[in-house]
Amino acid sequence: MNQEYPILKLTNVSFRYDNQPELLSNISFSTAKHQISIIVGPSGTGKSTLLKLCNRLIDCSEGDIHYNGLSIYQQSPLQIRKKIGYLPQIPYLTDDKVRDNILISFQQKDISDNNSRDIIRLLREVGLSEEYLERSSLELSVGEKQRIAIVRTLMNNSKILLLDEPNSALDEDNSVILIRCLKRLVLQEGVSLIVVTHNLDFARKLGGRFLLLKGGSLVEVNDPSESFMEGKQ
Amino acid sequence: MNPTIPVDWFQLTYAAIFIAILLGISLLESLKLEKPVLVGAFRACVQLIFVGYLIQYIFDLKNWFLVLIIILVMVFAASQTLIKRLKNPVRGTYIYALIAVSAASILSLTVISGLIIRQEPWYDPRYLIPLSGMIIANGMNGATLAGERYGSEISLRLPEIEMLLSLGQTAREASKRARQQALNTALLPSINNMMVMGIVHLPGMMTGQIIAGENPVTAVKYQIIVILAIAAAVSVSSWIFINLLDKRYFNKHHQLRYELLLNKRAQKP
Repeated sequence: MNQEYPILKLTNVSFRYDNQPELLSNISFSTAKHQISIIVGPSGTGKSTLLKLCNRLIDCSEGDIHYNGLSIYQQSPLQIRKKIGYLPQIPYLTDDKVRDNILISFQQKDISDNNSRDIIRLLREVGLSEEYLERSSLELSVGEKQRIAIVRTLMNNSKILLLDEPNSALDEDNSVILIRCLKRLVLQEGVSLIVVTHNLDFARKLGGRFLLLKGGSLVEVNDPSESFMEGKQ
Repeated sequence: MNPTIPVDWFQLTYAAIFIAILLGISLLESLKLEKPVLVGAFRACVQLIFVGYLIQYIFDLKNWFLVLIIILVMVFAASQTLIKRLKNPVRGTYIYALIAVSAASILSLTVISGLIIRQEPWYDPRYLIPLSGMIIANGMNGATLAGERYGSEISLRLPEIEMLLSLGQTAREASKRARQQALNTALLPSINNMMVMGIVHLPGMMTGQIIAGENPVTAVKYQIIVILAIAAAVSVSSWIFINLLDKRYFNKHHQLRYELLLNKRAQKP
Protein backbone atom coordinates (compact mmCIF):
# COMPACT_ATOMS: atom_id res chain seq x y z
CA MET A 1 0.00 0.00 0.00
CA ASN A 2 1.12 3.47 -0.78
CA GLN A 3 1.12 5.55 2.39
CA GLU A 4 2.27 8.79 0.71
CA TYR A 5 0.59 12.21 0.65
CA PRO A 6 -3.04 11.96 1.83
CA ILE A 7 -5.58 12.44 -0.93
CA LEU A 8 -8.38 12.89 1.63
CA LYS A 9 -7.88 14.13 5.18
CA LEU A 10 -10.52 14.67 7.86
CA THR A 11 -9.50 16.86 10.79
CA ASN A 12 -11.59 16.96 14.00
CA VAL A 13 -14.83 16.51 12.11
CA SER A 14 -18.03 16.65 14.15
CA PHE A 15 -21.59 16.43 12.92
CA ARG A 16 -25.10 16.78 14.24
CA TYR A 17 -28.46 17.21 12.54
CA ASP A 18 -30.39 20.34 13.61
CA ASN A 19 -31.34 20.16 17.30
CA GLN A 20 -30.19 16.53 17.53
CA PRO A 21 -27.39 15.12 19.71
CA GLU A 22 -23.92 14.97 18.17
CA LEU A 23 -23.63 11.95 15.89
CA LEU A 24 -19.93 12.20 15.04
CA SER A 25 -17.38 13.89 17.24
CA ASN A 26 -13.77 14.81 16.54
CA ILE A 27 -13.22 12.35 13.70
CA SER A 28 -9.73 12.51 12.19
CA PHE A 29 -8.28 10.21 9.57
CA SER A 30 -6.68 10.35 6.17
CA THR A 31 -6.41 8.13 3.15
CA ALA A 32 -3.82 7.96 0.37
CA LYS A 33 -3.92 6.98 -3.27
CA HIS A 34 -4.43 3.21 -3.83
CA GLN A 35 -5.48 2.80 -0.18
CA ILE A 36 -8.45 0.81 1.05
CA SER A 37 -10.01 1.96 4.35
CA ILE A 38 -12.79 -0.12 5.82
CA ILE A 39 -15.04 1.45 8.42
CA VAL A 40 -16.81 -0.97 10.73
CA GLY A 41 -19.01 -0.39 13.73
CA PRO A 42 -22.47 -0.94 15.19
CA SER A 43 -25.61 0.31 13.43
CA GLY A 44 -26.62 3.91 13.94
CA THR A 45 -23.14 5.15 14.75
CA GLY A 46 -23.01 7.48 11.74
CA LYS A 47 -21.00 5.42 9.25
CA SER A 48 -23.19 6.45 6.30
CA THR A 49 -23.23 10.04 7.56
CA LEU A 50 -19.44 10.04 7.55
CA LEU A 51 -19.42 9.05 3.86
CA LYS A 52 -21.98 11.74 3.01
CA LEU A 53 -19.77 14.31 4.72
CA CYS A 54 -16.83 13.34 2.49
CA ASN A 55 -19.02 13.71 -0.63
CA ARG A 56 -20.46 17.02 0.65
CA LEU A 57 -24.03 15.76 0.48
CA ILE A 58 -24.01 17.26 3.97
CA ASP A 59 -21.52 19.59 5.70
CA CYS A 60 -19.83 18.98 9.04
CA SER A 61 -20.76 21.12 12.07
CA GLU A 62 -17.10 21.49 13.06
CA GLY A 63 -13.69 20.54 11.66
CA ASP A 64 -12.42 20.42 8.11
CA ILE A 65 -11.98 17.97 5.25
CA HIS A 66 -9.13 18.36 2.76
CA TYR A 67 -8.98 16.87 -0.70
CA ASN A 68 -5.50 16.98 -2.27
CA GLY A 69 -4.39 19.51 0.34
CA LEU A 70 -7.28 21.94 -0.20
CA SER A 71 -10.31 22.29 2.03
CA ILE A 72 -13.39 20.86 0.28
CA TYR A 73 -15.32 23.81 1.71
CA GLN A 74 -13.25 26.18 -0.41
CA GLN A 75 -14.09 24.28 -3.58
CA SER A 76 -17.29 23.92 -5.56
CA PRO A 77 -19.40 21.15 -4.02
CA LEU A 78 -20.32 20.02 -7.54
CA GLN A 79 -16.65 19.48 -8.42
CA ILE A 80 -15.87 17.78 -5.11
CA ARG A 81 -18.73 15.32 -5.62
CA LYS A 82 -17.27 14.34 -8.97
CA LYS A 83 -13.84 13.74 -7.49
CA ILE A 84 -15.10 11.89 -4.42
CA GLY A 85 -17.77 9.48 -5.63
CA TYR A 86 -20.43 8.18 -3.25
CA LEU A 87 -22.33 4.93 -3.73
CA PRO A 88 -25.27 4.28 -1.41
CA GLN A 89 -26.22 0.89 -0.04
CA ILE A 90 -28.71 0.16 -2.84
CA PRO A 91 -27.47 1.91 -5.98
CA TYR A 92 -30.19 3.89 -7.71
CA LEU A 93 -30.58 3.37 -11.44
CA THR A 94 -33.37 4.92 -13.51
CA ASP A 95 -35.56 2.60 -15.62
CA ASP A 96 -33.65 3.60 -18.77
CA LYS A 97 -30.91 1.76 -20.64
CA VAL A 98 -27.56 1.12 -18.94
CA ARG A 99 -25.89 3.59 -21.35
CA ASP A 100 -28.28 6.39 -20.30
CA ASN A 101 -27.69 5.58 -16.65
CA ILE A 102 -23.93 5.72 -17.02
CA LEU A 103 -24.11 9.02 -18.88
CA ILE A 104 -26.78 10.52 -16.62
CA SER A 105 -24.55 13.37 -15.47
CA PHE A 106 -23.36 14.20 -18.98
CA GLN A 107 -25.06 16.63 -21.32
CA GLN A 108 -25.67 15.27 -24.83
CA LYS A 109 -23.02 17.63 -26.20
CA ASP A 110 -20.39 16.28 -23.80
CA ILE A 111 -20.64 12.71 -25.05
CA SER A 112 -17.58 12.06 -27.18
CA ASP A 113 -15.70 9.08 -28.60
CA ASN A 114 -13.38 9.35 -25.61
CA ASN A 115 -16.33 8.86 -23.28
CA SER A 116 -17.43 5.79 -25.21
CA ARG A 117 -13.94 4.31 -24.97
CA ASP A 118 -13.85 5.07 -21.23
CA ILE A 119 -17.21 3.40 -20.66
CA ILE A 120 -16.14 0.23 -22.44
CA ARG A 121 -12.81 0.15 -20.57
CA LEU A 122 -14.49 0.68 -17.19
CA LEU A 123 -17.19 -1.89 -17.93
CA ARG A 124 -14.41 -4.42 -18.56
CA GLU A 125 -12.68 -3.37 -15.34
CA VAL A 126 -15.82 -4.25 -13.38
CA GLY A 127 -16.26 -7.51 -15.30
CA LEU A 128 -19.11 -6.52 -17.61
CA SER A 129 -19.18 -6.59 -21.39
CA GLU A 130 -20.01 -3.80 -23.84
CA GLU A 131 -23.33 -5.49 -24.62
CA TYR A 132 -24.68 -4.31 -21.28
CA LEU A 133 -24.90 -0.75 -22.62
CA GLU A 134 -28.08 -1.46 -24.57
CA ARG A 135 -29.76 -3.44 -21.79
CA SER A 136 -32.55 -2.00 -19.68
CA SER A 137 -31.55 -1.48 -16.06
CA LEU A 138 -34.70 -3.39 -15.10
CA GLU A 139 -33.08 -6.60 -16.38
CA LEU A 140 -30.04 -6.29 -14.10
CA SER A 141 -29.33 -8.08 -10.83
CA VAL A 142 -28.41 -6.03 -7.76
CA GLY A 143 -24.75 -7.01 -8.22
CA GLU A 144 -24.77 -5.82 -11.83
CA LYS A 145 -26.52 -2.59 -10.83
CA GLN A 146 -23.82 -2.04 -8.24
CA ARG A 147 -21.06 -2.38 -10.81
CA ILE A 148 -22.91 -0.15 -13.31
CA ALA A 149 -23.20 2.46 -10.54
CA ILE A 150 -19.44 2.19 -9.97
CA VAL A 151 -18.78 2.75 -13.69
CA ARG A 152 -21.16 5.74 -13.63
CA THR A 153 -19.26 7.26 -10.70
CA LEU A 154 -15.85 6.59 -12.27
CA MET A 155 -16.98 8.31 -15.48
CA ASN A 156 -16.66 11.52 -13.45
CA ASN A 157 -12.95 10.68 -13.04
CA SER A 158 -13.50 10.12 -9.32
CA LYS A 159 -10.28 9.45 -7.45
CA ILE A 160 -11.99 8.23 -4.30
CA LEU A 161 -14.95 5.86 -4.03
CA LEU A 162 -17.09 5.96 -0.89
CA LEU A 163 -19.03 2.70 -0.70
CA ASP A 164 -21.86 2.27 1.80
CA GLU A 165 -22.48 -1.41 2.63
CA PRO A 166 -21.71 -2.43 -0.97
CA ASN A 167 -22.30 -6.15 -0.40
CA SER A 168 -25.46 -5.90 1.72
CA ALA A 169 -27.73 -7.13 -1.07
CA LEU A 170 -25.25 -9.46 -2.77
CA ASP A 171 -24.96 -13.23 -2.65
CA GLU A 172 -21.59 -14.94 -2.11
CA ASP A 173 -20.71 -15.16 -5.83
CA ASN A 174 -21.52 -11.53 -6.50
CA SER A 175 -19.58 -10.45 -3.41
CA VAL A 176 -16.49 -12.24 -4.76
CA ILE A 177 -16.94 -10.54 -8.15
CA LEU A 178 -17.32 -7.15 -6.47
CA ILE A 179 -14.18 -7.63 -4.35
CA ARG A 180 -12.19 -8.63 -7.42
CA CYS A 181 -13.45 -5.59 -9.33
CA LEU A 182 -12.76 -3.17 -6.46
CA LYS A 183 -9.21 -4.48 -6.04
CA ARG A 184 -8.57 -4.08 -9.76
CA LEU A 185 -9.85 -0.46 -9.63
CA VAL A 186 -7.44 0.29 -6.78
CA LEU A 187 -4.48 -1.19 -8.62
CA GLN A 188 -5.19 -0.17 -12.21
CA GLU A 189 -7.11 3.10 -11.83
CA GLY A 190 -5.32 4.35 -8.71
CA VAL A 191 -8.63 4.75 -6.92
CA SER A 192 -8.83 5.00 -3.10
CA LEU A 193 -11.68 3.21 -1.39
CA ILE A 194 -13.48 4.06 1.81
CA VAL A 195 -15.89 1.22 2.50
CA VAL A 196 -18.50 0.94 5.22
CA THR A 197 -19.53 -2.63 5.97
CA HIS A 198 -21.03 -4.90 8.59
CA ASN A 199 -19.76 -8.03 6.93
CA LEU A 200 -16.41 -9.08 8.43
CA ASP A 201 -15.82 -11.78 5.87
CA PHE A 202 -16.27 -9.23 3.07
CA ALA A 203 -14.02 -6.78 4.93
CA ARG A 204 -11.22 -9.34 5.37
CA LYS A 205 -11.37 -10.50 1.77
CA LEU A 206 -11.26 -6.93 0.51
CA GLY A 207 -8.24 -6.18 2.73
CA GLY A 208 -6.92 -2.80 3.80
CA ARG A 209 -6.89 -1.05 7.12
CA PHE A 210 -9.77 -1.18 9.55
CA LEU A 211 -11.32 1.77 11.31
CA LEU A 212 -13.84 1.32 14.07
CA LEU A 213 -16.58 3.91 14.47
CA LYS A 214 -18.10 3.71 17.90
CA GLY A 215 -19.67 6.27 20.21
CA GLY A 216 -19.11 8.95 17.59
CA SER A 217 -15.32 8.42 17.46
CA LEU A 218 -13.10 6.67 14.94
CA VAL A 219 -10.07 4.54 15.86
CA GLU A 220 -7.79 2.37 13.75
CA VAL A 221 -7.86 -1.31 14.76
CA ASN A 222 -5.86 -4.30 13.64
CA ASP A 223 -8.47 -7.01 13.76
CA PRO A 224 -12.02 -6.24 12.61
CA SER A 225 -13.50 -9.16 14.56
CA GLU A 226 -12.34 -7.66 17.87
CA SER A 227 -13.78 -4.32 16.98
CA PHE A 228 -17.01 -5.92 15.89
CA MET A 229 -17.35 -7.83 19.12
CA GLU A 230 -16.75 -4.67 21.08
CA GLY A 231 -19.29 -2.92 18.92
CA LYS A 232 -21.88 -5.53 19.72
CA GLN A 233 -21.49 -5.18 23.45
CA MET B 1 -85.03 37.85 -24.26
CA ASN B 2 -87.26 36.99 -21.27
CA PRO B 3 -86.27 38.61 -18.02
CA THR B 4 -84.87 36.26 -15.34
CA ILE B 5 -87.60 34.65 -13.20
CA PRO B 6 -87.20 36.12 -9.75
CA VAL B 7 -86.75 33.63 -6.87
CA ASP B 8 -88.15 34.86 -3.58
CA TRP B 9 -86.66 33.90 -0.18
CA PHE B 10 -89.50 31.49 0.61
CA GLN B 11 -88.98 29.56 -2.66
CA LEU B 12 -85.26 29.44 -1.95
CA THR B 13 -85.86 27.50 1.28
CA TYR B 14 -86.90 24.50 -0.86
CA ALA B 15 -83.19 24.20 -1.72
CA ALA B 16 -82.91 22.66 1.75
CA ILE B 17 -84.19 19.46 0.06
CA PHE B 18 -80.69 19.05 -1.39
CA ILE B 19 -79.18 19.20 2.09
CA ALA B 20 -81.73 16.66 3.33
CA ILE B 21 -80.65 14.27 0.55
CA LEU B 22 -77.01 14.73 1.50
CA LEU B 23 -77.77 14.13 5.18
CA GLY B 24 -79.82 11.05 4.29
CA ILE B 25 -76.90 9.48 2.43
CA SER B 26 -74.51 10.36 5.24
CA LEU B 27 -76.80 8.71 7.82
CA LEU B 28 -77.50 5.69 5.63
CA GLU B 29 -73.82 4.95 5.10
CA SER B 30 -72.68 6.11 8.59
CA LEU B 31 -70.35 8.66 7.05
CA LYS B 32 -70.62 10.90 10.12
CA LEU B 33 -70.69 13.91 7.82
CA GLU B 34 -73.91 15.41 9.22
CA LYS B 35 -72.18 18.14 11.20
CA PRO B 36 -69.80 19.28 8.45
CA VAL B 37 -72.68 19.16 5.93
CA LEU B 38 -74.90 21.35 8.11
CA VAL B 39 -72.10 23.74 9.01
CA GLY B 40 -70.95 23.86 5.39
CA ALA B 41 -74.43 24.53 4.04
CA PHE B 42 -75.08 27.19 6.66
CA ARG B 43 -71.74 28.87 6.01
CA ALA B 44 -72.26 28.77 2.23
CA CYS B 45 -75.68 30.45 2.58
CA VAL B 46 -74.55 33.12 5.05
CA GLN B 47 -71.32 33.86 3.17
CA LEU B 48 -73.06 34.08 -0.21
CA ILE B 49 -75.88 36.28 1.08
CA PHE B 50 -73.33 38.55 2.72
CA VAL B 51 -71.20 38.67 -0.44
CA GLY B 52 -74.32 39.31 -2.54
CA TYR B 53 -75.20 42.40 -0.53
CA LEU B 54 -71.56 43.46 -0.36
CA ILE B 55 -71.15 43.19 -4.12
CA GLN B 56 -74.39 45.10 -4.63
CA TYR B 57 -73.00 47.85 -2.39
CA ILE B 58 -69.64 47.90 -4.14
CA PHE B 59 -71.27 47.91 -7.58
CA ASP B 60 -73.18 51.00 -6.59
CA LEU B 61 -70.13 52.68 -5.07
CA LYS B 62 -67.67 51.98 -7.94
CA ASN B 63 -64.63 52.90 -5.87
CA TRP B 64 -61.26 51.60 -7.24
CA PHE B 65 -59.68 51.53 -3.80
CA LEU B 66 -62.44 49.34 -2.38
CA VAL B 67 -62.21 46.96 -5.35
CA LEU B 68 -58.46 46.57 -4.81
CA ILE B 69 -58.96 45.95 -1.09
CA ILE B 70 -61.44 43.18 -1.87
CA ILE B 71 -59.06 41.55 -4.35
CA LEU B 72 -56.25 41.76 -1.78
CA VAL B 73 -58.45 40.13 0.86
CA MET B 74 -59.20 37.34 -1.63
CA VAL B 75 -55.48 36.82 -2.32
CA PHE B 76 -54.60 36.72 1.40
CA ALA B 77 -57.48 34.35 2.17
CA ALA B 78 -56.49 32.08 -0.73
CA SER B 79 -52.86 31.93 0.47
CA GLN B 80 -54.04 31.13 3.98
CA THR B 81 -56.24 28.32 2.67
CA LEU B 82 -53.38 26.99 0.58
CA ILE B 83 -51.15 26.71 3.64
CA LYS B 84 -53.86 25.00 5.65
CA ARG B 85 -54.36 22.40 2.94
CA LEU B 86 -50.66 21.50 2.77
CA LYS B 87 -49.96 18.70 5.23
CA ASN B 88 -46.57 19.85 6.50
CA PRO B 89 -45.77 23.31 5.15
CA VAL B 90 -42.16 24.36 5.58
CA ARG B 91 -41.40 27.76 7.07
CA GLY B 92 -41.86 30.61 4.59
CA THR B 93 -44.53 28.81 2.57
CA TYR B 94 -47.15 31.47 3.30
CA ILE B 95 -45.04 34.14 1.63
CA TYR B 96 -44.41 31.82 -1.32
CA ALA B 97 -48.15 31.18 -1.65
CA LEU B 98 -48.83 34.91 -1.52
CA ILE B 99 -46.25 35.64 -4.22
CA ALA B 100 -47.46 32.80 -6.46
CA VAL B 101 -51.18 33.59 -6.22
CA SER B 102 -50.61 37.36 -6.57
CA ALA B 103 -48.38 37.01 -9.63
CA ALA B 104 -50.79 34.64 -11.36
CA SER B 105 -53.76 36.93 -10.61
CA ILE B 106 -52.03 40.13 -11.70
CA LEU B 107 -50.93 38.55 -14.98
CA SER B 108 -54.32 37.03 -15.87
CA LEU B 109 -56.37 40.06 -14.79
CA THR B 110 -54.10 42.48 -16.67
CA VAL B 111 -54.52 40.54 -19.90
CA ILE B 112 -58.28 40.16 -19.45
CA SER B 113 -58.94 43.78 -18.44
CA GLY B 114 -56.32 45.52 -20.54
CA LEU B 115 -56.49 43.56 -23.78
CA ILE B 116 -59.67 41.51 -24.03
CA ILE B 117 -62.68 42.99 -22.22
CA ARG B 118 -61.25 46.53 -21.82
CA GLN B 119 -63.99 47.54 -19.37
CA GLU B 120 -64.33 51.21 -18.49
CA PRO B 121 -63.34 52.12 -15.85
CA TRP B 122 -60.69 49.43 -15.46
CA TYR B 123 -61.79 48.70 -11.91
CA ASP B 124 -65.47 48.18 -12.82
CA PRO B 125 -66.38 45.79 -9.96
CA ARG B 126 -69.00 44.00 -12.10
CA TYR B 127 -66.13 42.48 -14.09
CA LEU B 128 -63.10 42.66 -11.89
CA ILE B 129 -64.50 41.06 -8.71
CA PRO B 130 -66.06 37.88 -10.16
CA LEU B 131 -63.12 37.38 -12.53
CA SER B 132 -60.60 37.84 -9.68
CA GLY B 133 -62.53 35.38 -7.54
CA MET B 134 -62.39 32.65 -10.16
CA ILE B 135 -58.76 33.23 -11.07
CA ILE B 136 -57.49 33.49 -7.49
CA ALA B 137 -59.41 30.38 -6.37
CA ASN B 138 -58.12 28.32 -9.28
CA GLY B 139 -54.58 29.65 -8.94
CA MET B 140 -54.69 28.64 -5.28
CA ASN B 141 -55.98 25.15 -6.12
CA GLY B 142 -53.22 24.64 -8.66
CA ALA B 143 -50.48 25.77 -6.29
CA THR B 144 -51.89 23.55 -3.51
CA LEU B 145 -51.89 20.46 -5.72
CA ALA B 146 -48.39 21.24 -6.94
CA GLY B 147 -47.06 21.92 -3.42
CA GLU B 148 -48.53 18.70 -1.99
CA ARG B 149 -47.13 16.63 -4.80
CA TYR B 150 -43.71 18.31 -4.73
CA GLY B 151 -43.26 17.53 -1.00
CA SER B 152 -44.17 13.87 -1.43
CA GLU B 153 -42.07 13.52 -4.60
CA ILE B 154 -38.99 14.83 -2.80
CA SER B 155 -39.47 12.23 -0.05
CA LEU B 156 -40.21 9.42 -2.51
CA ARG B 157 -37.38 10.31 -4.85
CA LEU B 158 -34.77 10.68 -2.13
CA PRO B 159 -32.52 7.89 -3.54
CA GLU B 160 -32.70 9.39 -7.03
CA ILE B 161 -32.03 12.93 -5.78
CA GLU B 162 -29.09 11.78 -3.64
CA MET B 163 -27.68 9.84 -6.60
CA LEU B 164 -27.86 12.86 -8.92
CA LEU B 165 -26.39 15.22 -6.31
CA SER B 166 -23.62 12.77 -5.43
CA LEU B 167 -22.64 12.66 -9.11
CA GLY B 168 -22.17 16.43 -9.14
CA GLN B 169 -25.52 17.49 -10.57
CA THR B 170 -27.02 20.79 -9.41
CA ALA B 171 -29.99 20.87 -7.04
CA ARG B 172 -32.20 22.00 -9.93
CA GLU B 173 -31.14 19.06 -12.04
CA ALA B 174 -31.60 16.64 -9.15
CA SER B 175 -35.13 17.81 -8.37
CA LYS B 176 -36.20 18.19 -11.99
CA ARG B 177 -38.42 15.10 -12.05
CA ALA B 178 -40.06 16.03 -8.74
CA ARG B 179 -40.89 19.46 -10.14
CA GLN B 180 -42.20 17.98 -13.39
CA GLN B 181 -44.49 15.58 -11.54
CA ALA B 182 -45.77 18.36 -9.28
CA LEU B 183 -46.53 20.65 -12.22
CA ASN B 184 -48.20 17.84 -14.16
CA THR B 185 -50.46 17.16 -11.19
CA ALA B 186 -51.40 20.83 -10.96
CA LEU B 187 -52.01 21.35 -14.67
CA LEU B 188 -53.84 18.16 -15.61
CA PRO B 189 -57.25 19.13 -14.10
CA SER B 190 -57.23 22.43 -16.04
CA ILE B 191 -56.23 20.70 -19.26
CA ASN B 192 -58.84 17.96 -18.82
CA ASN B 193 -61.40 20.63 -18.03
CA MET B 194 -60.69 22.35 -21.34
CA MET B 195 -61.02 19.02 -23.18
CA VAL B 196 -64.56 18.36 -21.97
CA MET B 197 -65.70 21.97 -21.82
CA GLY B 198 -69.15 22.39 -23.42
CA ILE B 199 -69.60 18.64 -23.90
CA VAL B 200 -69.58 17.04 -20.48
CA HIS B 201 -69.25 20.21 -18.50
CA LEU B 202 -71.29 23.39 -18.79
CA PRO B 203 -69.42 25.72 -16.51
CA GLY B 204 -71.15 27.55 -13.71
CA MET B 205 -70.32 31.02 -14.90
CA MET B 206 -71.75 30.43 -18.38
CA THR B 207 -74.84 28.68 -17.04
CA GLY B 208 -75.38 31.56 -14.62
CA GLN B 209 -75.09 34.15 -17.38
CA ILE B 210 -77.52 32.28 -19.63
CA ILE B 211 -80.08 31.90 -16.81
CA ALA B 212 -79.61 35.57 -16.01
CA GLY B 213 -80.77 36.34 -19.57
CA GLU B 214 -77.48 36.84 -21.38
CA ASN B 215 -77.07 35.88 -25.04
CA PRO B 216 -75.55 32.34 -25.02
CA VAL B 217 -72.87 33.34 -27.56
CA THR B 218 -71.72 36.24 -25.36
CA ALA B 219 -71.78 33.88 -22.37
CA VAL B 220 -69.62 31.44 -24.32
CA LYS B 221 -67.10 34.20 -25.21
CA TYR B 222 -66.76 35.09 -21.53
CA GLN B 223 -66.41 31.45 -20.64
CA ILE B 224 -63.57 31.04 -23.16
CA ILE B 225 -61.78 34.02 -21.60
CA VAL B 226 -62.23 32.60 -18.13
CA ILE B 227 -61.23 29.02 -18.89
CA LEU B 228 -58.04 30.08 -20.69
CA ALA B 229 -57.17 32.64 -18.02
CA ILE B 230 -57.69 30.00 -15.33
CA ALA B 231 -55.36 27.56 -17.12
CA ALA B 232 -52.71 30.29 -17.34
CA ALA B 233 -53.21 31.32 -13.70
CA VAL B 234 -52.89 27.70 -12.54
CA SER B 235 -49.68 27.23 -14.51
CA VAL B 236 -48.13 30.50 -13.31
CA SER B 237 -49.09 30.08 -9.64
CA SER B 238 -48.01 26.44 -9.43
CA TRP B 239 -44.79 27.09 -11.36
CA ILE B 240 -43.79 30.01 -9.12
CA PHE B 241 -44.81 28.15 -5.96
CA ILE B 242 -42.84 25.01 -6.90
CA ASN B 243 -39.74 26.98 -7.81
CA LEU B 244 -39.83 28.90 -4.53
CA LEU B 245 -40.32 25.65 -2.59
CA ASP B 246 -37.46 24.10 -4.55
CA LYS B 247 -35.14 26.86 -3.33
CA ARG B 248 -36.29 26.16 0.21
CA TYR B 249 -35.63 22.42 0.04
CA PHE B 250 -32.03 22.84 -1.13
CA ASN B 251 -29.30 25.16 0.11
CA LYS B 252 -26.75 27.13 -1.91
CA HIS B 253 -24.29 24.22 -1.71
CA HIS B 254 -26.73 22.05 -3.66
CA GLN B 255 -27.48 20.02 -0.55
CA LEU B 256 -30.92 18.67 0.28
CA ARG B 257 -32.15 20.13 3.55
CA TYR B 258 -32.72 16.82 5.29
CA GLU B 259 -34.11 18.54 8.37
CA LEU B 260 -37.23 19.45 6.39
CA LEU B 261 -37.76 15.78 5.57
CA LEU B 262 -36.89 14.71 9.15
CA ASN B 263 -39.45 17.17 10.51
CA LYS B 264 -42.05 15.81 8.12
CA ARG B 265 -41.41 12.27 9.21
CA ALA B 266 -41.39 13.21 12.87
CA GLN B 267 -44.80 14.83 12.55
CA LYS B 268 -46.38 11.75 11.04
CA PRO B 269 -48.45 9.75 13.51
